[in-house]
Amino acid sequence: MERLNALELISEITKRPKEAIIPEATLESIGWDSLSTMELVAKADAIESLNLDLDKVYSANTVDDLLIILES
Amino acid sequence: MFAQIRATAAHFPKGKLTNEMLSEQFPAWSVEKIAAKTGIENRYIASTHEYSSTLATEAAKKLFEIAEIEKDQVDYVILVTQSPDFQLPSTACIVQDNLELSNAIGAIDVNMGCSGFVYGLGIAKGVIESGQAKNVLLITADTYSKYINQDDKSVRTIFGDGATATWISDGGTPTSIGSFVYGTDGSGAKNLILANGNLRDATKLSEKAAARIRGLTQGPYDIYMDGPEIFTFTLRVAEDTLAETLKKAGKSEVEIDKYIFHQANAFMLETLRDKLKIPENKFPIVMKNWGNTVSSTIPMAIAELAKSRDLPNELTAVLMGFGVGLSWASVVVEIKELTSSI
Repeated sequence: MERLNALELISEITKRPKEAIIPEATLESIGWDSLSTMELVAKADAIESLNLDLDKVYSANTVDDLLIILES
Repeated sequence: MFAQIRATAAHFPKGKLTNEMLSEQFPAWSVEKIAAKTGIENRYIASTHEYSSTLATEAAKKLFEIAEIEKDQVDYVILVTQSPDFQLPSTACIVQDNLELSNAIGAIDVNMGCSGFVYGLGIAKGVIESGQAKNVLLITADTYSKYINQDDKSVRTIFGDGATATWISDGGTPTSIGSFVYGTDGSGAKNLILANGNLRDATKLSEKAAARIRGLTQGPYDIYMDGPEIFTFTLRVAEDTLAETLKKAGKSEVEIDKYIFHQANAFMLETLRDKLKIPENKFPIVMKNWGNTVSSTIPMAIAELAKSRDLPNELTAVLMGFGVGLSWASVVVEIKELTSSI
């Protein structure tokens, strides 16, 4: 997944404009919680090319960590 | 000699846990957010003195009343629970005594969760159609709230307590209850497990289950659920399970009137409904007043549909449960002139 698409995905889930989501921000500071991860699972299921490794998602602390996981 | 579902009744304890109460304890989670994501507005919570046997007994009494069943008609009790009063004896035996049923009956517990009602139907069908019993009292009862750490918002928002009692007896047709499909994947046991209070240390299976890892003060049980993992597994198995169930029943999707799935949470069900391309009017999401009551959600959903007059007098339905185990099970049932109460 392209970085921009990944950012859009995070923006959609957190309902924050993507311009307001900076890579250095912690996931907690953008309101990311367990329900957000549930939404990510649902969205990932609809994207054939995206195989989500949940252990990696759980270990992500910042937006950038999550972007890297979604990009890979 | 074919088994058929005749009647079902649900019972809830009096205690409530509303979204307002949760939001007060966890201010970051607004009432609206909890309702929007889970589809749940209220859960019923058993008091200190209410156990699975208490709820099961009340559900059975309600069933006897609405369906005009005499106690001596009961040949066999199947009680599905994962929160039995005691490790031993079986809660089914306690309920037999509470209800003053005959001593000349069978009574067993079935330790299954979200797939438990379908498993119960499978066992009831086997018991009736092999001539072991004419009438089976199938009970589902759980008090998961007793397993929950009060500071764990992820599970407190989801689970509620309750029980159902369903009357299954002979006189049906070969297709009244049939075409079972089962699935099991114990490698995912760690994803929904009691962290404490077992003979074996569950945190050896999953470190993430440990209360301290979750930022909680250890309690007696601390049930742990990895929601996203459970969701991922459900999305993985539901499609094939449904296809196999329909194929086994020789039915096409349009011949099914209702797809009554385990009421886990609204977000999961809406995602499943979209993925499986099932029309909204055939795929009920009706647990907003009682939450995820584990093995009770399917019969509760049936009773809820009947209450809102959304259950045809005669219908063919797919029932599917999935979750703790990991375990999943599906069946096609024909429901006719059902007596119900919720």
